[in-house]
Amino acid sequence: MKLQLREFLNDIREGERIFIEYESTSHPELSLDGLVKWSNEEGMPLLIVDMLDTFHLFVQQLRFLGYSTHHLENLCVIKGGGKVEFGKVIGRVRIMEEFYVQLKEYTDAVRLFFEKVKSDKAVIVFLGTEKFMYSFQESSYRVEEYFEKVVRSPLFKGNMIFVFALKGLMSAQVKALWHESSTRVLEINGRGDRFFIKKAPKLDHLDGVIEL
Amino acid sequence: MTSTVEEILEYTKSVMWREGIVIEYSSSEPIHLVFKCLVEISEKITDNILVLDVLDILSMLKLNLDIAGKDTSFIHNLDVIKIGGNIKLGRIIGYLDPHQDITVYASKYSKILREYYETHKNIVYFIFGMEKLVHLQERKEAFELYATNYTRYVFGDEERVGIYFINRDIATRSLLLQVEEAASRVLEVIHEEGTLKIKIRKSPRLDDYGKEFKIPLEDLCHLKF
Repeated sequence: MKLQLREFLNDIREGERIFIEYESTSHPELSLDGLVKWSNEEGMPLLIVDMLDTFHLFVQQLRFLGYSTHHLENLCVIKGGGKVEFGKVIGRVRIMEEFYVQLKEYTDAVRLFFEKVKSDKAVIVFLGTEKFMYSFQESSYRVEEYFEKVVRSPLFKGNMIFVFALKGLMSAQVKALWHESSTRVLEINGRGDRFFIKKAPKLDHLDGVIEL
Repeated sequence: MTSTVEEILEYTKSVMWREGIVIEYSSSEPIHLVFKCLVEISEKITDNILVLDVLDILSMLKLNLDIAGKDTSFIHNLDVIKIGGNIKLGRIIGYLDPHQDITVYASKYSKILREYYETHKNIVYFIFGMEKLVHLQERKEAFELYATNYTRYVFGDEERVGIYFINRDIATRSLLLQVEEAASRVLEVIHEEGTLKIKIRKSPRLDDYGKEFKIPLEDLCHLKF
């Protein structure tokens, strides 16, 4: 089955988590660009949870590709680690602090976002989480704790979550948990203008292809 | 089909300032010749060529070029930041001890680089040996985190082109993948049956995917840019 990105996005219901894996040599920023444009048209506020300057990478890559990045400048961003300020940074998580401090800083920032946008529905995009998790993924206990407290957090009931992750960094446990915790799993091809659907709630989408 | 000098130059002209380019090789590839070709191409557009010389790799490149009978006088005109090693080549603008903790020498490194960027524009920066530094740290993950964070941070930030030479057989997977991610282009150098192949694995021009340059090894020695 072949789908356009827009058709695929329109099919997603509230509460879903979509996990998108990309290769180090592909251009996942093309799909982020499409996702932001779609959410603008739908009037859905969008939040970026940016670990370790990954959002900055996506923006710079778009510039090299010759795309305008103005529509990304006004997005709300929660930063975990990293130094580059891009977008409206509404909160910071100090990743060198212990887990419960991180968790508090993070949930405070997410609440602030929902107050700011005056909406209880939003698109939330996670970038660079796999790089952050790399530092503690040998501990299977901490991985489970992270999924319980952060990934499946009730803060996000009714929202659409998109998780972009670089292939090859995640341990088998991390990867399996992301796949299990997500309603849909996509893989971006070499260049970045096509996706393969690896998991979908509706079976006719399974093994399908999405084109930008 | 063999690639011509014109085709290679045409491709290098498509590179924009601020880009980060990864060139991956293995220990047996003739990268001394690739390096010399790239310096010759860079000299056409700038006087400011900077090299990060980790653990004397520049002296290995010079040795290989000398034995191949190539002119190596250009090395004296390179600005060099040394990390470890004992052999001084080029104009040394800074020295760092990689046996210190990464947090200590990384801040010195960024200070040296900032000062250089303040006084020089249009820089071509050849970064060698990042993959070797990982192994000098007690905690590899700490180095990987620091080095990849820094690579992301500087991506696209100054009027320069960063060229990362990485030995794919030495690099840890995590470092290699994250540096590739934080680059606008990834090229792979492979030597195969008398031919040097340069495969384009990542590019901001989507049509470049799957393309490769092929240069017979005997021609590589005589390429003039």
